[in-house]
Amino acid sequence: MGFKFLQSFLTFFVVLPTLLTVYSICASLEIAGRHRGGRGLLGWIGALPWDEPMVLVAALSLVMLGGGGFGGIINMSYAMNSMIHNTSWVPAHFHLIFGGAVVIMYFAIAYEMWPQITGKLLRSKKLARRQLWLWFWGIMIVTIPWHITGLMGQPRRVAVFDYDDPLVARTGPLVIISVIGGMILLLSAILLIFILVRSHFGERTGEIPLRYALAVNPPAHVPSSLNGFALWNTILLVLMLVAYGYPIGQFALLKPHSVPAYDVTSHSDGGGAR
Amino acid sequence: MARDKGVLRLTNPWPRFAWLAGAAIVGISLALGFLVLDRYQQNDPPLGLWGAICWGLGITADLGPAREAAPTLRTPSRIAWTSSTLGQIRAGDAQHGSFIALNCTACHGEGGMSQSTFIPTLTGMDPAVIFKQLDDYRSGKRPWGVMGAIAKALSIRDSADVAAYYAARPNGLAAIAHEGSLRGESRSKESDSARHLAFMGDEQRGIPPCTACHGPHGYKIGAPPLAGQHAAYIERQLAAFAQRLRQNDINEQMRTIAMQLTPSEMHALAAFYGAPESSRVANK
Repeated sequence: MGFKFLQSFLTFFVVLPTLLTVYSICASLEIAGRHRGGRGLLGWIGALPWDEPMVLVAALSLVMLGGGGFGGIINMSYAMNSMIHNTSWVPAHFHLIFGGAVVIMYFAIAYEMWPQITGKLLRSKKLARRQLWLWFWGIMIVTIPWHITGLMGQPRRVAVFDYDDPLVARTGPLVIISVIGGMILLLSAILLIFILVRSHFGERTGEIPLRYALAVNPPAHVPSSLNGFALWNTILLVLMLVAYGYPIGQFALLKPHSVPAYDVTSHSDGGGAR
Repeated sequence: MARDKGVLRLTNPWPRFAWLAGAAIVGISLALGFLVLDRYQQNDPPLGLWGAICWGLGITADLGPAREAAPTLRTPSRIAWTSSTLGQIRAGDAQHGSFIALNCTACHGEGGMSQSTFIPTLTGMDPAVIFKQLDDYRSGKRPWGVMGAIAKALSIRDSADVAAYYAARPNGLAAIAHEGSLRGESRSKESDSARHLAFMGDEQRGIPPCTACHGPHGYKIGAPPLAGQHAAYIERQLAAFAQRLRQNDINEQMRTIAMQLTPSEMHALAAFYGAPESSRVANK
């Protein structure tokens, strides 16, 4: 306990900005959808310009952020974490969050910014949408079995997997599925480069003016504390010092524990004489 | 937009709120982490307030280096049942093994049918068992002068070959048969204590049935077949496990079980599994 609880508790507050982000993106989409003539409780969803890669990505990214976010709450909680600590659940979680929700947004930004920078329009938005869907399913196929193997107890860092061992044999098929997902991701990444290169050497050109989003209800006054990073970075620095200063400083105070090294290979190739 | 000055100053309401909220969160979690949650220990009475703070800071009475050196790590066997080990055993050549086995007949008898009650019969023995025991003799994990010297003279391949040879010999050891075992009959009525231990175990003392590993109900690699083995040899091994003279059972299972058995139970179990001398002679 002690500082571990402080770290856990502070980490918990990451759900607040995340939920604010989800809320403001959903609200922006709803406002746009209603402006485009969407009616009813969910009618605005259908009214959104789904052929735009950016809109598609906003939705896919939210789905992945949702899944990864709920997994993250398990990681940060003191008790539930002990179930998945140091298992392959952890890399599965951050691949879903970063490789999924964040990276797919980079792709959409590339499709948005590339034509603005170079003046070469995307040759096919349809192909771009396919690439993004491929990435989405690739991430799903990689990370869902990965989470499951974590729950089954597969460690996150392993030198050698011996799937003949009955202890890990049942994770074998799930790992294979994960690898297939990885192949899909590779395919999607190659497709991304192909789309950008093809558009760059394509015929279609045009000037796209750089436009920024405008607030529907423009604020009359924003306090400068909320409009800059100075205050928040200072608070962050203090919190980091409080949460990690002593635990890291302890390394300088404590006598190091000697952790015995286990030789994992020598006895199994005792047949070296052969 | 940035009209208010002094974003870090506490006279400004926004920074004041942010700092207060941060301080409150830190205060609450420090109180919970250091004063409340870490008081409760799994197997010990709750700590006092001061003790809890020290505990949370990682300052405990045993902070200094331990006075006694930690005992060296002792592994029961060099053998682990990895696929490469199993591959070495599978590669055993019984033809070559029969030549090596000529060295064994003096003690273990013709074809592995031992005539001495203290020397185990090897005929029909599971090859994984012979392979592991030879390696344990070789590494000194099962200390026994004569066998240690002999095993050191054998290569890994020789061990696998001689194991394959004895495994292939007919009319030897086998998992003990039981009338109800394959039909799944209830065996709770076993009256004889040895039979009861062999087929039922003893839940009260945490003793699993012998048959769960030695057959016929289950098979665990490394567990030898027992039926037909010399009773005196079985009894001696049980006693050796119980007294920790023999420590090469990988998961400490035989040491744990044997420690729970009374001498009379060991004797009865050995008699139950061991073949009577007459049938041994007839067998030969």
